[in-house]
Amino acid sequence: MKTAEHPDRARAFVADDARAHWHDESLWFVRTKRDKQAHSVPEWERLRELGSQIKRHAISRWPDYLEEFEKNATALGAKVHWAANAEEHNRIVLGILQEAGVEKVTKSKSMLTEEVHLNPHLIRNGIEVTDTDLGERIVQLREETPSHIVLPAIHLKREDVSETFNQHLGTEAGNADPAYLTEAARQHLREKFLGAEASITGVNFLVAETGGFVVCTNEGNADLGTSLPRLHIACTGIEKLVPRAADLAVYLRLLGRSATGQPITTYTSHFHGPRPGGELHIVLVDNGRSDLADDPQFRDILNCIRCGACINTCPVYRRSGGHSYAATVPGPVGSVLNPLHALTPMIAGEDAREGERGDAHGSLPFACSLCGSCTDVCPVKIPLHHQLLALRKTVGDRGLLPWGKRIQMKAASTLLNSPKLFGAVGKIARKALPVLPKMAVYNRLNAWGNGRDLPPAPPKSFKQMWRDELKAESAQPSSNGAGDAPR
Amino acid sequence: MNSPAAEPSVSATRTALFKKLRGRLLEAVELPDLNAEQWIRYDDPLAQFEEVLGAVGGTPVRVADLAAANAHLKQLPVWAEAKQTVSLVDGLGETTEGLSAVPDVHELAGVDVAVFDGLFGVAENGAVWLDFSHSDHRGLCVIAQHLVLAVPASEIEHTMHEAYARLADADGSHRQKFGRGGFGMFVSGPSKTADIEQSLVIGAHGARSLTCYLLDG
Ligand code: SF4
Repeated sequence: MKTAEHPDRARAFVADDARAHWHDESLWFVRTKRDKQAHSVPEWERLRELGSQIKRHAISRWPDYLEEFEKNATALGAKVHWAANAEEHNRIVLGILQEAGVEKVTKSKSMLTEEVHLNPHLIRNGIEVTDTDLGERIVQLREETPSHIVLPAIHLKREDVSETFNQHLGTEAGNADPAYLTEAARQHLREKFLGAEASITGVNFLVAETGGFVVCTNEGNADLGTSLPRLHIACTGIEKLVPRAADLAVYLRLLGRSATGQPITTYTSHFHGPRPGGELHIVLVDNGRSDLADDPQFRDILNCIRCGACINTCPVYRRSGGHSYAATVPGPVGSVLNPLHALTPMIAGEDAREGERGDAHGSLPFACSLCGSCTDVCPVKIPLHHQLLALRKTVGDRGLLPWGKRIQMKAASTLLNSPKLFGAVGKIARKALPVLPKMAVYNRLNAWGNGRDLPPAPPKSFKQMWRDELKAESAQPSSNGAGDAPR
Repeated sequence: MNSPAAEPSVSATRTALFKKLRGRLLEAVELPDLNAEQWIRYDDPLAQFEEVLGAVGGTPVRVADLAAANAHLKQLPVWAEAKQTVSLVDGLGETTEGLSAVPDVHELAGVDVAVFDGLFGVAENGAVWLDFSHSDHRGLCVIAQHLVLAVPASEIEHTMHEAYARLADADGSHRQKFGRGGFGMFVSGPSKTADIEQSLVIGAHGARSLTCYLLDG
């Protein structure tokens, strides 16, 4: 199996230093807003604890709650569908649209439909599908993919958007004012909304107790989309369950604050059954999710509410850009999810993006400095950096590491397992490193030498220094018996 | 295109999924009792609501009664310039001739201002609960260019927990009243986006402004 290389894909992004720096700062700005909001809630840590516990409870009784949801949703007049994988999901959605004779559909933000590559499937079958979230519309017009799950166009500058809109929507060349561009998109998308014959939305929370679901947006696109045509298809992963409507309070308090530093999203819409005279389909998709509950090490990743906070705070994501992950979900959460999915039998079907199909995403758990910031901000307390560390081992055990890293890891493990060998190699290295040409240290074989510099080699090993220190101390009593005061 | 017969039956997938999920025993995790928790209480929830609503781009306006709200509304430029309006609140604005019994949201695309009753507000996030259980005007509140809400000043809940508690049935669950209510939404401020370089623009797809009257009387 070919292993995707995160560093290779990050190279182009990193090469534009100014832009990479700007990207880093934009995301840090969002992280700062999140901190401000989180600190305004005294019970924040308790909410995170509850957010984690409710989700873990829901997963512990997953089939019961799924069944309860299905029963209640059906009683409300919705039609519930089950899809094992991407292909089945896309077939179901296309079937519903074709049966209703739909040719034009609008879609609000849904990472699930990105994951299963719904758009290309519909387009291939003659259906016009318009993404209506502004960020998603921008990347759709550019024939790109979102680079972030909450901020799909965060990799783009206003000038890029201006150019795209000039080309596709006929806006003034060179006018890059965000208000002007947003207004143009509003006008353009209103037409699409009014002309659509069906609307597709994602789902933020499925409520087992009632059979309803909640969709959160700031733009109002899910509401405008679903209130015009009579047909609504909601596509969702099977893990988005909460047992009770009262649990929504916990998650809604966490979600907006964690995602964009807002106290809540502008619109939080609760759908219970179809509108009068309308038709509502809910497509519940597994696509590998059910496998994630097997391993207690990784089970909590199913808690994820896709807020993006771990992505915004991640020093690697901020400096390498979302596309370097070559996956729908980037950042720490993606670096856990994607390799896990690739290790399970389910892999995205025929519409998998180039570089994604059959790709183990083996390098993603290494796109991490183990700083732990993701774990600190995660509103549902997923131990992300512990999972990333554990995944490195899994990826290594399965032989999915790139060759260079594999050889070096093997050498390192031999070295670290033998104190004698370690001592000997250290002695040689301290002599050799200062005189070796750079080429010998930074070459293709050394994956870690890339973009990193070694500090100058010390004259003595730590062991030697320690021994010398002990000798000196026994010769003369130290001046402040208790040792150094803390600094 | 596949003939319907070629498609595996939906229930086969469902059966396989449930077999897998049921065949696995996970350790029990207790469902927390949210009523046992202590949540933040604001000294002045109304003031908090006004502050947060202002921060998210809305305009709270404290008034003595509906008549005062109406007088204020009439002076708003968005109202004065509006060609089409729909009001679902008796005594606050009016509905343009011919728009009162509109069957289809498509025909409301030209509405400049829509006026709604909000059941209550939430202090911690400036959200107002709009209940559409008795009407299908859900589209109106996003398709209208500007949104005007009327909320009793006494009806401000501290947090989302109290908000959901008040939407609950007598037994504390949400199966009846809320779960069979069709559609309902929290709306907090006007529609917005920051998808272009993180710069905030008010008026994405929904309302370009939100004025919330807080009625004392
Ligand atoms: S893993 Fe946690 S922080 Fe990251 S997107 Fe999911 S919920 Fe948010």
